Amino acid sequence: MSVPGHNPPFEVGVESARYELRQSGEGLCLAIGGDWTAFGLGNLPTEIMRSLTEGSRPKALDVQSLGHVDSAGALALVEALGSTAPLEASDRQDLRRLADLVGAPSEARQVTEPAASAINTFFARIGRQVERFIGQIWAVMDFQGRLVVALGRHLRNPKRLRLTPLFSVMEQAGINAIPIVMMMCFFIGAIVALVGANLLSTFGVSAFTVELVGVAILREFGAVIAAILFAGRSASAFAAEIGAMRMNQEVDAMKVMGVDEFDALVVPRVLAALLMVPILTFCGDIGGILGGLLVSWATMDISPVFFLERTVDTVSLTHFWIGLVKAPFFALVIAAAGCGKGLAVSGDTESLGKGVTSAVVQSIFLIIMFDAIFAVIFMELDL
Amino acid sequence: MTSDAPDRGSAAPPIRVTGLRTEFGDTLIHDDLNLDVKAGEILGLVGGSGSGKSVLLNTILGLKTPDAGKVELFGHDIQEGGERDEVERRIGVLFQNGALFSALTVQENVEAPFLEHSDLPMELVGKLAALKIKLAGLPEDAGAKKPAELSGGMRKRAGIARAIALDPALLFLDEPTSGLDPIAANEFDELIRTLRDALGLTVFLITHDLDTLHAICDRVAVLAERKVIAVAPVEDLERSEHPWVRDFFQGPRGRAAQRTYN
Ligand SMILES: Nc1ncnc2c1ncn2[C@@H]1O[C@H](COP(=O)(O)OP(=O)(O)O)[C@@H](O)[C@H]1O
Ligand SMILES: [Mg+2]
Repeated sequence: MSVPGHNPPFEVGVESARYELRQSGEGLCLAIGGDWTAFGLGNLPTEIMRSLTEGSRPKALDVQSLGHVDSAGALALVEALGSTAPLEASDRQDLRRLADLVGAPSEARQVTEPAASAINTFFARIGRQVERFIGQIWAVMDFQGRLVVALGRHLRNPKRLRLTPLFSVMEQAGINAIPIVMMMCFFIGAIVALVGANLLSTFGVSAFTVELVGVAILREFGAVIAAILFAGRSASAFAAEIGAMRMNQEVDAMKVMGVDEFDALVVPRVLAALLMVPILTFCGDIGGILGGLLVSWATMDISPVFFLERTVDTVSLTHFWIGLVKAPFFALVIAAAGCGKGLAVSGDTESLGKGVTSAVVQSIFLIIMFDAIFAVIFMELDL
Repeated sequence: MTSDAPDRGSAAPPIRVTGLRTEFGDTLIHDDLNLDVKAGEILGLVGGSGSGKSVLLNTILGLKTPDAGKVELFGHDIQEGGERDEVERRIGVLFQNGALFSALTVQENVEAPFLEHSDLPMELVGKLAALKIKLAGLPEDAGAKKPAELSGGMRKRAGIARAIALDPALLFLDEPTSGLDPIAANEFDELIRTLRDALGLTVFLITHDLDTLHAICDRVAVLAERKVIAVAPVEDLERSEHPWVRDFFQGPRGRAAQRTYN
């Protein structure tokens, strides 16, 4: 029951298409050879069009040495000849059928918009940027409002809290991040100690290295490094997970089941971040002090016992608390950026990629900004 | 006098599956499965849900390695790397959910195979893509839309437009009419037949749609008990004694379809 006519066979090789313009009795004749297929044609169609001057369209077609032909080749022929008539008159059955398929030569389908004046596009661009900016601010406020409402609901009725996702996020985003956070802070502590020892020894007060390390790690680096790593690991993960669920219509399915997406997706992640970032900060503090301790021991012969004693004696506990107080704020910023960007993903993969990127960039930017604001506040408070 | 393209290809069948065994862990999906698809035919593949139709398609496409046996496309073993590229550009696939590139417009989706496999000038590629979009039965303004902006039926048509971009010799369709309304499904059947006749395609079609089987399939292969238990025209299968085949074709829906087409 096979169809009459051609079946494009599996091609062993492709012979490049070629053409020749001949002057014959009735007028110009286009002789073609080789494979007129998407693979054999290459840039030939442009060459033909260039060599044909307007009004000198070939009237006849010679297909003596033509190999295979497909719709790409047929379309190129019809465009060059200006009509399907020569193809329909050909003795090649596949050409006749393709002529039917391709139809009469097409008008230029690409509709180009009239070029707008430079001044116009300039203002249009500014307008679009402003609109986008306002839209973003609106989206952030909308998200924050819903988050506050959802958290309030959970406070009134703690049974709403979904424990399984909470613990799973706490493990993946928190516990699993402890080694990398400690390691990172260890190196930062070591660097601070090295630089400090070098600088302070020129004043003959290298013992102050201990205080330098203690204050720098506890007050700043512990919290900031933990938060930045959390943002890199988990803001991206939150945005990607929730964004993929959006693309897959899972979020819509939840909504029609009467499940609030903030209850199911956002609140567990925000709470997990609120609980885990302080713990990570604490781990970072330990790693940083250890780094400083080791470097001081190796380069300045400050014994570990002396280092720890001096830390306890001279570094006020306030520094530790200041570092820890910042952690929940960072956590909130990171989780909100991740979940918010995830929920904003639309149907396509590009918006998913953009969402994940901007979740990370935005949360790291906000971490540094908040840290600067806190620095000013604590300075004013004389802490 | 009628001549045709010179025959440089082999006379091997478009698809030949021999002794195929597929397993996931301990679950055996296919065991000693054999199937031949003839050039130029529309072959329908039916089987219960979970019987391994999609897995068979993935194996034929080389997306899954068979645990035993061989899959040949046009006489070339797809597991042997050398001619993969040659084979790839002779086949077109419509996956069950369309599998369009969501970041590109429909027009760009259809242009993608040309950009990958040919050096045609951009202008011609644009016109060809527009031609294929029209052939697939989509309105002209659909080309500029993203897949997310299309309805399910239109997405399938866009998927077909991309599948036939390079005039493939072999077209694979996974449940093309599922989820379409009856009118759209009829149009789709019509479209597949038109394309087969116009482009000389061989079509391998997975479907549950009895109307599709009656209307356009030259032969129907039945996948059951981990094998292809029968390959025959629909009318012959309707007389089959095999319990599953009988239930499939002689159930209330099967009878209704039979009445329509006989
Ligand atoms: N990646 C996979 N891992 C394990 N089992 C699978 C996988 N893909 C499919 N299966 C199993 O193979 C069987 C056949 O699946 P499939 O081919 O999708 O069915 P259908 O015939 O409905 O298309 C099913 O039982 C399914 O559970
Ligand atoms: Mg399936």
